[in-house]
Amino acid sequence: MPRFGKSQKNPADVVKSLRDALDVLDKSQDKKKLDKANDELVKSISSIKLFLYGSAEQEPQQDVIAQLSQEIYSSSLLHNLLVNLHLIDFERKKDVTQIFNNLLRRQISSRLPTVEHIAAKPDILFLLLNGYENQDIALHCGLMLRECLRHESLCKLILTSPKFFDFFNYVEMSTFDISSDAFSTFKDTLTKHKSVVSEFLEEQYDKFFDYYQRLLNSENYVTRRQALKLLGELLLDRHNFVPMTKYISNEKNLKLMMNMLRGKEQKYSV
Amino acid sequence: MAGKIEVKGSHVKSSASPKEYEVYVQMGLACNGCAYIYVGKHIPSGSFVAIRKVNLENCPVKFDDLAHEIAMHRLFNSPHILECFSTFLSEDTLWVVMPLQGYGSCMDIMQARFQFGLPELAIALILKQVLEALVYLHECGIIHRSLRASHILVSETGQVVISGLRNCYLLERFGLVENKCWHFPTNSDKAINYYSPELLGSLGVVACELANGHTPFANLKSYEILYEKLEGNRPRLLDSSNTSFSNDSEVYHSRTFSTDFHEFAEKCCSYSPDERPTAKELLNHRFFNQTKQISFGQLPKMLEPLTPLTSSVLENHTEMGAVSSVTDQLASATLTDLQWEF
Repeated sequence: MPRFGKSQKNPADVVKSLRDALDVLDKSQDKKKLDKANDELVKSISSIKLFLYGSAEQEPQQDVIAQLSQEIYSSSLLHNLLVNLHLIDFERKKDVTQIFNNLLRRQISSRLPTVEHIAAKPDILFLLLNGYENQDIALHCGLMLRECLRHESLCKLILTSPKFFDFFNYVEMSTFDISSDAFSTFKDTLTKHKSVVSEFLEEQYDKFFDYYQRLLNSENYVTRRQALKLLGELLLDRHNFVPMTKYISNEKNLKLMMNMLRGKEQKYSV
Repeated sequence: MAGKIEVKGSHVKSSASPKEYEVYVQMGLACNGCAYIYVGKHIPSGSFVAIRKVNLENCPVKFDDLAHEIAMHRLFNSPHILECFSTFLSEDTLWVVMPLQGYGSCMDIMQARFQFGLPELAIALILKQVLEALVYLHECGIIHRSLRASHILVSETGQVVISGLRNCYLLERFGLVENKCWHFPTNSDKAINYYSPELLGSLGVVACELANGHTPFANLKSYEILYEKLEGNRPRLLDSSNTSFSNDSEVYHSRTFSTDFHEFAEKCCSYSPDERPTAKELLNHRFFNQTKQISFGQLPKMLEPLTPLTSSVLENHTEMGAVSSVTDQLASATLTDLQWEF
């Protein structure tokens, strides 16, 4: 590949060496091997970035990007990276996030190839969701997950899965930065794609509001306040007319709201 | 003892409960006055920390902005960016645990002892470390947008960290941007080159702030500042070369900064972004030649007679069981007007 100079590998090689390095990091105990794999990892991630973003002298090449993403899909590298994200060093995690989000935005006429790839492998989404359980990767997973949620098909996959209800645990985590990140992802899931959400609320009305009730009664001040604000947004949305009428016709809910208004916190506004 | 705080706070990191901290004295305000900074002690490890408490019930700063700031501190790992050990809630108060910075912010230092500005060498040592932080941030695709003396904190060893990432801005290219309002259609690299010089403009203002002891144009109303700027008046370093004995303070007239420093400030404050250098270029500026032979460890000496809030000072007094009296003394000594802006 003369256009990258002699030392540059082609996308297929880079993807392969990255996969191998991840494999070693995951399985090996040998210190020497781990160090070597780490070096390899750093190298391949920076070459992938170079392919995607180009450099000062070199604009990114569309055909190389196409080749690279083909390799990434066929080797399910995204899945592999996420499974092993906690093994990757601090700065490189941010690179992985960048690469992931860049690929996700890739568009060929009206097709979004990465979105299609993830839709075919929903495991990727649930790996990201589970990321909230690990403090070291929670924020990175949050960034990637919110990028996914911008696409209706992926949002629907999360909403229709029982794993969606894991959010109710994540938003109450004791570490503030993780719980608030989880809440903003939770909010995105419920507000970005109105028609999908209203469908979900109608179908899962009982289960959802049962869980939601817990957030409103949470010990955690921020959870309570944010949950109440989000509830207002959900109920006042025109798309959610059916669940709204159902919700307000229940006298228990009215009682709850009256009690909350009586509470001493001032920032509650429904 | 003194080294305790410099240990990366892994032992503090997992402690997310107010029970694990002992809180002593308030040492300053942050967040436009709605957050309070306290000196505290992490009980399990015995190390001293700074604890910032924000009451969310009556905080004018938007909740999302606070969360954004903390997430930013978590995503960066540089010796010159303020680290955040742990954050958690206690009732409606948000606690943020951070390493204790013995001297407080540069604003505190100037208010306490250096009303007419810091010595040139001290400024060089501080700005060099600030620039290193900026180079790191720019590599990550971040623009700080809120650089000022009160956001530059100095530790007891003379290490400088920057804080105040609440207003920072992530460039699209790095895939971390969530708000599309700021989407730039430009080529990514151009966007960086477009933006970073703007930031370094504020570095020029900070240089003048540190040298003069007050913010340029601070005594003017905002429309007057605009007028001054339209007139082409730039912030400048006050010394014998540009002040006259009669109108200006004697202190300014009796000192002379090096031509390198003048050139450095002028370059940063240049009104055309094209003329402003990048952070990396600035690090190689002749102004920093004077810092080559010395390390930031020399900084505390230059700040004498100001004494930092060191862990050994705190340790001795807590052992004697006289925490409250000591902290009262400290509060009345140098800490009364301290202001930490985050």
